[in-house]
Amino acid sequence: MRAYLRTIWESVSTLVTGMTITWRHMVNIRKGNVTLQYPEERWPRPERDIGFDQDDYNVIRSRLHVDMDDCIGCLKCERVCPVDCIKIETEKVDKGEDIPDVGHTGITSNGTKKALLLTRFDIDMTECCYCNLCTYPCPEECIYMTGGPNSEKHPIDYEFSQFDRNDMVYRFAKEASEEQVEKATCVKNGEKKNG
Amino acid sequence: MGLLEHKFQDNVVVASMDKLLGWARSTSPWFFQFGLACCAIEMMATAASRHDLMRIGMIPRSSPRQADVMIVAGTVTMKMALRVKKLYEQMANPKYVISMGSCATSGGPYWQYGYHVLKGVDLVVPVDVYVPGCPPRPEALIEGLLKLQEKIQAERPLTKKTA
Repeated sequence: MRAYLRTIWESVSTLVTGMTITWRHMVNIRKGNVTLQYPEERWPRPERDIGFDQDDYNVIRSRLHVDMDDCIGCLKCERVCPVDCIKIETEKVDKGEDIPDVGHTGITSNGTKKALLLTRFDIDMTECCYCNLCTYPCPEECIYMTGGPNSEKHPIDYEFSQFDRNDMVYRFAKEASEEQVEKATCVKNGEKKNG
Repeated sequence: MGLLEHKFQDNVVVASMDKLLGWARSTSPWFFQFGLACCAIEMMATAASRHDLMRIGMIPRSSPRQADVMIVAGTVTMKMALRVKKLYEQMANPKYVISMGSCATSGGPYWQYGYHVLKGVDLVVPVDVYVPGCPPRPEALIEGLLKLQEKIQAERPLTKKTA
């Protein structure tokens, strides 16, 4: 009889001990919990340590963005790109003139007069290796990685999965038909059209 | 599943069964770990406790027979492409492929002069979601997986396909 009662007591007491631990964990569920509930909360994107003071440098790894109103078509970013993922095509236009037909502004926000109309500015983000090399030589600072030091210009964007590979090619040039571009260009058959 | 697939007219029972199947498939897509390069490190970090893929029902499996999703993480070389294809064919239906990172999606930095790199894993297996990044952060990968879950949920496996 005594052994029977002791068995019952042992089972109850060990159960209570175990359940106490379980309940303690349940009450303190957020204490020492490292998991991030991703879509609701996320880590701030860390900036890259490039070994020296980086206040003036654009050092974050995210999607590339181009402010087309500031781009002068100097091709420096295209030349410096180690994987050739930037493709630029330009046409000569009158220097400093606004051409609203093709969305071309004559003067950049830095005051540079633009002499080239960009008919194509494609960045294939599937080929990009996020090295930031294109952002340094840009004289107008119009190509940059989103977020980080540039978060006032463009919010951070590094989660842009797509169902189709072609959607990952970002076309920044303003939409314009061939006739509009033809009309806008000042060089025709090797001769200047007006002036 | 294969016998019943796309064999039923659209009605209340089939539609609700479709929804149930979509929910069941999308909430437990066990993934086949296919780490080929540096992207594998980020994939490990995604499955570890900080980002915890178990929250969305994903458990890493080492065998293609037990997996629903193949995450191709890293540079697919010509030699490896044959194995990718073979392992994809060993997976049971329904199967999905995520192309993680620049290299798997288009060859990445090797897209131009890489004599040994496959220019995109979609040349050998059908890819459902492309995750950008070099390598992608765990957040970017989870975003791609959530996108894949939406895609699986929208599927109608039983209903006869119209059009």
